[in-house]
Amino acid sequence: MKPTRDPTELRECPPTWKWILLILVSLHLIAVVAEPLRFFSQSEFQSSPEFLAIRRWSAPYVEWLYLDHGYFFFAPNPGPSHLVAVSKESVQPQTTSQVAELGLQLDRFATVFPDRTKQWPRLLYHRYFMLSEFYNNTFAPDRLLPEDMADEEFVVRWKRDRIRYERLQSSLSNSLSRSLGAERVTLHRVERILLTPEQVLRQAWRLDDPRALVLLEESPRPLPPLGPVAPSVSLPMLGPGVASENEGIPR
Amino acid sequence: MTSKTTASSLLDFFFRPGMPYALAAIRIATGAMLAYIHLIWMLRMEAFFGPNALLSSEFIRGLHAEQWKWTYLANTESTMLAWVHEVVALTAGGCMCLGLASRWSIPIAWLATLLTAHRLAPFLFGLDQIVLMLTMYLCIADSGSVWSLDAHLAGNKPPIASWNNNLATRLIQLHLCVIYLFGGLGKLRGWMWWDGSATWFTAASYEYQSSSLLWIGSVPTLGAIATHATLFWECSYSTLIWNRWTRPWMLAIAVLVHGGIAIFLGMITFGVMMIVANIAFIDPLAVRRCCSLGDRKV
Repeated sequence: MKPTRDPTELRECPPTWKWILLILVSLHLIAVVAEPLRFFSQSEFQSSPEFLAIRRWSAPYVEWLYLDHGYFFFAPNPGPSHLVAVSKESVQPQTTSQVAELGLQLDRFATVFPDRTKQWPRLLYHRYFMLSEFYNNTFAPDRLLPEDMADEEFVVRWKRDRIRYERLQSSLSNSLSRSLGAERVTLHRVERILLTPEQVLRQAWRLDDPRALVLLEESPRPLPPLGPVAPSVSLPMLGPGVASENEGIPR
Repeated sequence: MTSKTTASSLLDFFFRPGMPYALAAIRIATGAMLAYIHLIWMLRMEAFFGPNALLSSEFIRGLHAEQWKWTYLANTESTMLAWVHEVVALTAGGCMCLGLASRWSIPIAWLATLLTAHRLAPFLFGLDQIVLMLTMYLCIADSGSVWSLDAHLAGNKPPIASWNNNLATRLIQLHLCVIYLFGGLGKLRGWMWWDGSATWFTAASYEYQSSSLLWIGSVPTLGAIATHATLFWECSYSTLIWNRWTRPWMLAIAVLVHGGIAIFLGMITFGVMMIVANIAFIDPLAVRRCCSLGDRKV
């Protein structure tokens, strides 16, 4: 940009201070990129050691100043949304055959969030939406499959994640049971799968069509025998009742 | 270029005195948004703070156990204390917007919002990231020296072009470039951003939708162009925004993209704040001229 000159008084930075501030600014800018670099440079194999070192070294500064973001907006792909449906009983309010026939009827639950009719203004609704996405991201299954138990590191990580998920469940359940006046409540994870133009424009599915809702399971299913590989993103042609891998969380 | 001139250019880039008009515009919008954010927390105080909170203090302490995210709000169950905190934060945001005691109100608004953010981390999204980023940099600027009650009370003296205004502007600009660069790089990994379907799948999300953009499904070429324009704009922003010929185009697309997010994806607060952050790339004197034109029209 061109220098901004105005016929007014100028306040210059003392020359010695400029160099000190330049060093501080440089360190700050390294901290700004520390988290995105760490986030982008991790794979199943490893996290890039130099970016990991920078991130660890700058952790107090980055984390307390709330600079620890990967800036993954709608990336890598826009993904399905996740809701939390709350029932006052320990069972879901619909049988499996009813879900298969009618889709998941959210009005049968005691409450669901996010819900734009109950949470208003829009920013309040979005806060609940982020909570439901967080709940889904925190999910860890209630048990591991025998084939997963062989990897010790994986088991340790699962135990830690499971404890965190149970604590989150407990916190939400306590709060919701009090606000709903129930002795206890059960939380269900629900995924709203992405609809194709074909379904919306030709088959006239509404965006809130119950057939697009999938009740996610708490336990892992054994892998089917080797066969065709399933797509990694849940698309509606899979039909209701089919859970899938969760891709990019739009936050 | 010699090393001496490089160093001198670098120092000039960060420390050349700058006028506060663009930062004042950012201050007004950011202060108003901070006040609104805290007002929204206050609508459901029982759900966010205190003994009946959706996320208990104990859970938040466990969540942040291995992180440097200390906040006293995670060590108390007192809803009253949270009320006091939120009222202080809302008031500071309001004062920041009005430019009242700016030297104090901006840092107080930033600190109070940061402490709330650590307590309520799982509820946050891009809006909180951008608002806290802008407020942090405004703390070092003299943005309250124009278009503020402070300036009015001081007799509306002409503002001083100061080095800290330029430094704050540069930090906002560079931080914004980092956000867009990694936002774009993240999208490069996704196949929907390459096959042109990302705009459709974003528009067809029931949880996000606020105004219908479903018609774009019947014009797939337009959807693909919008997807690729967003991808290439985001990836190239951090370089093309610095060139004076390409900057207006980058800013115009920013308004379109973020305006679209605000109108169609129900994130009006986030969309508005991203547009506000882009004001940092407009010459402060041009911002003043724009506002003067507005005054004359009124």
